Amino acid sequence: MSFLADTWGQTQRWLVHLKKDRMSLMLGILQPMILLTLVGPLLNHVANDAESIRGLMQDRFQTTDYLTFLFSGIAVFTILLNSILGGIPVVFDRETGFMDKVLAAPVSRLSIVTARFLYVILYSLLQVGLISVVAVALGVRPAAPLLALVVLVGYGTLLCAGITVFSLALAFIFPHHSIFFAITGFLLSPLLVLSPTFVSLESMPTWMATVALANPMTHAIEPIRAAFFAESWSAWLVPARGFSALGLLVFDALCFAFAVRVIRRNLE
Amino acid sequence: MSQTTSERALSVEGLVKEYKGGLRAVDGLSFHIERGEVYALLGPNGAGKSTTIKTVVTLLRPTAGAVKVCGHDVVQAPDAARAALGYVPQEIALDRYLTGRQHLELAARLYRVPKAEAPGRIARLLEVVELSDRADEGIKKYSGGMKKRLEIACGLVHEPRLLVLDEPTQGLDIQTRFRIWDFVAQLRERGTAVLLTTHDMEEADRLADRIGIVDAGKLQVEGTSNELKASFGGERVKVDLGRETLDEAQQSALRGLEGVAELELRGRSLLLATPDARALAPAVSTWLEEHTGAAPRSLSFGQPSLDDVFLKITGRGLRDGEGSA
Repeated sequence: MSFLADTWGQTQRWLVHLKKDRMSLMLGILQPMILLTLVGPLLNHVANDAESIRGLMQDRFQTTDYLTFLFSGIAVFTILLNSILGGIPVVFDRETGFMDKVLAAPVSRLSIVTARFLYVILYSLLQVGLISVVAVALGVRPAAPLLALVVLVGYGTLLCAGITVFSLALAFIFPHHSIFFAITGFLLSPLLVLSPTFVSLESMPTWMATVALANPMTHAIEPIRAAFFAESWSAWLVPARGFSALGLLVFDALCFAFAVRVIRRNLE
Repeated sequence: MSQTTSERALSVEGLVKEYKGGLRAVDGLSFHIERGEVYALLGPNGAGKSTTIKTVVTLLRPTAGAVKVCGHDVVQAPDAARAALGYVPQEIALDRYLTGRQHLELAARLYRVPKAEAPGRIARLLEVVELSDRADEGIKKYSGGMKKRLEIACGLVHEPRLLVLDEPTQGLDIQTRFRIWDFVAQLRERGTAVLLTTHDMEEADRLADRIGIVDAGKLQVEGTSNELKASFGGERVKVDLGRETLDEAQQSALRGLEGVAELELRGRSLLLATPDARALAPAVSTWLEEHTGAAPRSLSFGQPSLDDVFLKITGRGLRDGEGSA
């Protein structure tokens, strides 16, 4: 009971940040919006410009609706970005000494992590929600909206959990924000490129597609993308979805074990 | 009458803290604080004060020894120890997005203050630290003194039995220092024990019931301000030698001067203990002129201050040295 109260108590602090810092929320959705509004219609135009390209796209992407195809990648990328940067306030709390005050209180150590995770997932879903509004205006139409929503929230949460916890572990390992930013920045590019955010796994070189299978983003994008095109639960529910969920759960467990070890060591 | 270990606000027994690499910041430190007592821990930079504080507030784990807050061992029962103490760190560590009231609300949640009691306590504390009229403003608009008062209020929201104040008035203007001193005096009257570290001798002299001087990770001496001054060995004559210093032979000769009980030479600063400073001062000045060829740059005499005691014990001024441990 006190763990839940501790978690909610600290989450409220982060929610105040959200209320006071709406500019960051808006700027945070700008980058995915740019990708969605520029890249999506551009490739849609290319795909529908010639029969041969349309055929190639259907063959490699299993759709000619590139905007809807891209949206699932952009939504997952937004969650990834928020999650991997989720440790930043903790880095600053450590730098300013605020974290010492939290740690000197009889508060559950785990709640520091869970509160941050809860906030990041709420923040991410809010951002994805806002991006979705724009996406619908641009013409994204999931075949089964409820299925798409449930799968997006479910797999998005699984990805968010592992990455946020990993980011928090980094925040406890590296005491200065400059190192934290350098490392997370370094990780972002390969995570984005070695994933099916912009293109399908089938259209990647074999080696790249193989590496992409080890990328947790892949296991969030693939089921979410499938949910946007599937017309029913039964059409969506194939063994690959379970494999992706299991992969993300294993990833989350590994990140959690790593974070617990790091945080314990840093807190003695 | 002294209290038993379980009744004491704080009991530190044989505390040792060794960092990776072998640095022993605290080396067998022992002291205790009775309930309702204000205890000042004095020491030069690197003496082990900050490490001791961080161990007391459970941020560091002792290498050896025992630390108990209101009878709760900081290693065996850290949450019980945490619940019994409030911590105000040296640096101001506030969240720039929160208002003063929101800081107190967060502190109340972190310390699990019952929901029904929190608003009343927060309102009372805001009055005590004179921030009621600014409580709903963001702390970005607060002055340094207001932020420090808010920090202290945050450390008190759960009504701890021990408040740990790490350098509470460092960097603050004189007016704010006096307000914080008044506030600490009020805490003592209410029965809250206070452990404070300070570089400020006047602060320790005015606030503390007892003072412990630490150096090289060890408690060098402990007692009330008057006891420490009495341990100096009478009155003192303090001489700034200017450009000159004294060689061994000159020091030995000066020791033989009538009325000199003890002599300490630190660089170009000469400290003499004597039963009669008024009589000794002119004799020392004359002796120095005759034997070094130069009059002292300055000379003062009178009752010893805590500064003199500190210099005599540690051989350093309070602000000497670098870093903190």
